[in-house]
Amino acid sequence: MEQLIRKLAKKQYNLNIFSIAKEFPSINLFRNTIDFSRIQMDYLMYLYFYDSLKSDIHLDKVTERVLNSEIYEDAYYMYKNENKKQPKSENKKHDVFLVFDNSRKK
Amino acid sequence: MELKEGLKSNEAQELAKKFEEDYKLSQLTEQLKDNKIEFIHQEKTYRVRLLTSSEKEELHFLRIKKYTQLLKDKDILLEKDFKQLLKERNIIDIDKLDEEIERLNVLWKDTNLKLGEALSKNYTDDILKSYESQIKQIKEQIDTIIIQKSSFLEDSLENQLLNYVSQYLTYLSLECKNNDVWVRAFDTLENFANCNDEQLVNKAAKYTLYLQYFGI
Repeated sequence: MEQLIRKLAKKQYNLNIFSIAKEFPSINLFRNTIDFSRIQMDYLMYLYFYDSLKSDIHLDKVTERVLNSEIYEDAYYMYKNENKKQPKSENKKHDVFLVFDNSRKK
Repeated sequence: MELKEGLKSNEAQELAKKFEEDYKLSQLTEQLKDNKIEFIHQEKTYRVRLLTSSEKEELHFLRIKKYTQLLKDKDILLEKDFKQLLKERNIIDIDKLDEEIERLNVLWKDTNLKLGEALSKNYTDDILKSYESQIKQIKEQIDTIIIQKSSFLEDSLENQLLNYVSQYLTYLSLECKNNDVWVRAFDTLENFANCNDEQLVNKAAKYTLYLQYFGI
């Protein structure tokens, strides 16, 4: 079932509807607007997932190869989210420390 | 000639597969539109639907009642007691299985991150394929251990409660069409539990789980 939901969410037509629905609240994806079922929630999650992947492809952050397998898709998404979690300022501090450290050795 | 025939038959198989997938996707599109899943079984139309607020309350109350009833029965063990007993009798150490699952989960995540990085840095296909195959292998190992663990704990109190909730949920969700009116398919839980039509029960249970989130 999950694979079918993924396939449906990956279709460009459905992604277009999702993008439009994000902009226009009067467009609903389902007949119900509250009390979403499990498959509806999974479908929404995968629409968001593929929307984000295709946007990264469009921005040249990753190539179309990512769409060749579901394992690639999941792995890239996980990597992307993990990178988001790491604060950038900490890396900068670390870099400065390394430069200072190297100069002391000399 | 034979090769050509073979190709034709492969093409036909591919086409049939594509048609079947398209059919399943269009069915799924219908199921997604509202919170109802319709199906035909032995020429009768059935559906499962989301529970109403009062049905959810009913289910919640019965879950607590069943939980208390199971707790009073000293022959039914909680998962933690089951684990202890299995360990004492030298049958299996479930905690060790959990540790192994945890170790494999860390490895699975780590390999996924490596594959994700390889994809974002545009590494060669060989590297990507190698990570993909490692991830598949790790996942298979995790699934095998989880199945093994579940089989040992299937008679635990928690699992019995989960089965009861699932059964009651299906009974509440299942309706059939009588003269264009939707009515509950079984009058009582007892009638549903005694139903001999395993196919109908399994189908209804499967669709119910597609719709509802539930836990114990």
